[in-house]
Amino acid sequence: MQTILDWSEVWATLLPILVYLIKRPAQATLTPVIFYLLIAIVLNVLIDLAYFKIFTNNGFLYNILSICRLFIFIWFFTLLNIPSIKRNRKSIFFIVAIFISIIFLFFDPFIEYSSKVFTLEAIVLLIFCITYFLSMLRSNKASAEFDAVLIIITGLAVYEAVCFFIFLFYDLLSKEEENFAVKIWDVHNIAYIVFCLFIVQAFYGRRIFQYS
Amino acid sequence: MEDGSFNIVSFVIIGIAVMLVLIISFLLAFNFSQRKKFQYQQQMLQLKGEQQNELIKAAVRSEETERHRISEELHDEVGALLSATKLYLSHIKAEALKDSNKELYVKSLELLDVSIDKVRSISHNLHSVILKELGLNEAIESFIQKIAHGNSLNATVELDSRYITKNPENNISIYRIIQELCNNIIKHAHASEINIQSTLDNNMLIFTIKHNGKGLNQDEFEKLRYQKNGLGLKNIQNRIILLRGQINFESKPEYNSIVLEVAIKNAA
Repeated sequence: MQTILDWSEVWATLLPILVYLIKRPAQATLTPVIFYLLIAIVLNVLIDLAYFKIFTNNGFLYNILSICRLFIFIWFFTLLNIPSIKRNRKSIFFIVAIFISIIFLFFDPFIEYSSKVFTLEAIVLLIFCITYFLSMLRSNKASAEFDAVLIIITGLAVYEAVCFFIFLFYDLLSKEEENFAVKIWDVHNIAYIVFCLFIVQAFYGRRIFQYS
Repeated sequence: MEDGSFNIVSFVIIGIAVMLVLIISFLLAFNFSQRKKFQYQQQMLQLKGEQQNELIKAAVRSEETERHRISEELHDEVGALLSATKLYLSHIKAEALKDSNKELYVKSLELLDVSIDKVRSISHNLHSVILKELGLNEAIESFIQKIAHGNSLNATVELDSRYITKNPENNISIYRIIQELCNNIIKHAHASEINIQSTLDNNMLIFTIKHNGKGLNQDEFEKLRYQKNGLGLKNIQNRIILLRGQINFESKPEYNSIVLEVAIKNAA
């Protein structure tokens, strides 16, 4: 069971990739998600190989994964029709890049796992998810049609919300409570599986809930 | 476990739990709100549809009333005047006229007869008296006989005799649609053969009009009915909305067909 959970970042990422290859959803807004999955599968394989002592350190791989997730999902949000994000897309990329540079230049070494980068990712993506939900609430339209974007954002919001405190304190926990840090990472893995299942649902194209 | 690390562990667990509860609550509230919005939209759409149907119904009724008024005025006023003119003209002694005037007199009488027939025919076309008295099938047969007689047209009718009128208002709309379609087939498609068939199938009355003229396909019909001068096609569409029916145009090299499907309900 533990081994399945330890490798969940690999097999859970494979699930939406397989569904994508079978279903081939032709929606331009889903392109960043496919990019993310391809990058994530490569990095997660390397991360898990490193965890099992094949590499000496996987912290920098986690940092790269977090930065990729952050930028790719910002790209994903800029493709949606949210005026506030679409209008400021260049500034958003620029500001996030500055924050990441500051973290690695002044606070954390790039080679080590950085809680700050992960926390930044969680905050930014949570803000974007909530902005998306609010923009939908503000609009006068509500559709019963299947919405792959909404499903992916719901999954992302759940993942980032659950993992926010894990990311925030992981550095500290790994130093002071190593056993708990390992256990709490299982919660992260479960949240990641849930996120991947949401992406599977989005690619598969069937409605999760229906308004009646 | 030291106090400090216990606090961090508790803080992380509580933090995760709070975030989970918050996000789930938010998503549930979002779903509830979207569901309400969707239901409201559906109600508005339904209301809009009902209002549109009422407007179409009112327009169709007023058109029908106007047709009746014009028909009655043509029959009672113009028809009566023409008949009176014929009566006065017939009192003229033709023998007393010169040969050149005699020819004009005979021609005038002929033209007057044609005018009286035309006025009567237009008046009957506008008025749905046959439809009311004899039913839809007879009205269509009578109409087809008239247009076949007036034009060099081979028109055949095979109508399902099982159809019994249950809603006279629907009959008027079906009749007007068939009338408009046939007029268009003669005027625009320049057909020399028309065949009208009807079948009653599971409370659905299906009319199939086949002709050998220049036919329309569904896309062309959709385009034409949005054109400014496509009043006839707009009327057809309005009546179809009112009947909650369907119309399908098909253009083939062998023949062109128009299929009109109407659900038959009991009179309200």
